[in-house]
Amino acid sequence: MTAMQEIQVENLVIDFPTGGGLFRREHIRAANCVSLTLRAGEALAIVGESGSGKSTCARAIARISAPSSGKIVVDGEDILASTTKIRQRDYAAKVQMIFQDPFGSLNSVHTIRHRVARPVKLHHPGPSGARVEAHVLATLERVGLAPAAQTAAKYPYELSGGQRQRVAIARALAVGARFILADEPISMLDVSIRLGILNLMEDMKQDGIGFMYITHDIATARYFAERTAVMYVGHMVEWGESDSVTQTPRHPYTQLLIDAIPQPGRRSTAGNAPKKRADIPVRGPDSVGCPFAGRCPKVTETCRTTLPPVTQLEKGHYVRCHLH
Amino acid sequence: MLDEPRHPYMKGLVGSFPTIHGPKTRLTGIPGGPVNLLELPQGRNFQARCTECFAPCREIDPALTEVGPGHRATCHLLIARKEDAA
Repeated sequence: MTAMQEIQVENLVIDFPTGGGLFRREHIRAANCVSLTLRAGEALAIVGESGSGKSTCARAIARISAPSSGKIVVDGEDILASTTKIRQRDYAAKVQMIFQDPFGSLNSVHTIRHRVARPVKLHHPGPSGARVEAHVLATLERVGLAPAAQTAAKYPYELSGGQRQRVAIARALAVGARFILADEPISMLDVSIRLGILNLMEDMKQDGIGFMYITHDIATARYFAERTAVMYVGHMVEWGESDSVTQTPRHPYTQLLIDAIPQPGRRSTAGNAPKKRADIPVRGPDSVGCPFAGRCPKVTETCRTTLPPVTQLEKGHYVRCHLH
Repeated sequence: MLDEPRHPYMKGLVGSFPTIHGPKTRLTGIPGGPVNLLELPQGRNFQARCTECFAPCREIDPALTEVGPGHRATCHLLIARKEDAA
């Protein structure tokens, strides 16, 4: 498999069964018509509330779970098609995930050395123990865990949250990841440590690694990612260049997210914030209308009956809303 | 405190938040990690991570000193600046 340049996701739909009888299964639709592109050396941020399908999409792209329909095209080849020549294990080595909780994602009974060396041995059998060891230490140095020999001998409980997250990044780098799907990698870290991780990932972009950066925090999305996509209940509602999306948000949901960011120097505006009018809806395959209709301050009758089409606003900035 | 942070640690905390509208510059946060409470260094606890650490910080812990109206901090640098100004 050559160096991957691009992962294109086309019309991804993910349904989860929730019960029902033998003849009539019930499903919820966790992702609907999600189309996005990840490019090497670039970051795409996925922003949205809990339950908007961000992680579900990442898990499908990592092939941890299978989508109900849609394509995942890697450099022109659909890897979900039965004719694909790309082996699952080769793909897994190139597309790695980092999870939110660095306390849960590292097994506490193994040393850091074991944790980083194990996937290397699985994905690239052959090199001698000494070469694997040298590779592990070099990778630990690269993610800022010097002195590497001492770090490698430690157990996860001896490291801080930020250091553990660096181990998770080292684990992805060590197997030769080309794309990293980072599922809220900094949300459980101290504010002072967060930038260290974001800057480390920024440097990795310079080395040609592509990121899908899942976050609640639209300000860090703008800081780290070239492009941003906003998701709501399984739908991408607005996407484009990060600056364009954050400085001129057009979808009412994006506007609401940006208004909700507390800023030093700006006192509470809770009084003028729009009231939350409904909870996040549960969508099924038969649901109609815009997913945001129940909470939208600018809702119209059409919104309740028809899913809005995708409109291009300016170059590369798209929105899924009847108002545009 | 937020508009004019004085202490290097406070400056680091305030400077750890990327803004949604402001200029996009590379932020540094606070380098390093929290100090090991079992092996406290002589002098300031914050010295290893401080960008403005100088000789007195490695010797003794400074007392809490008023550095502005109703604004107090424990920092040798701020105390020295205040003495220079006086």
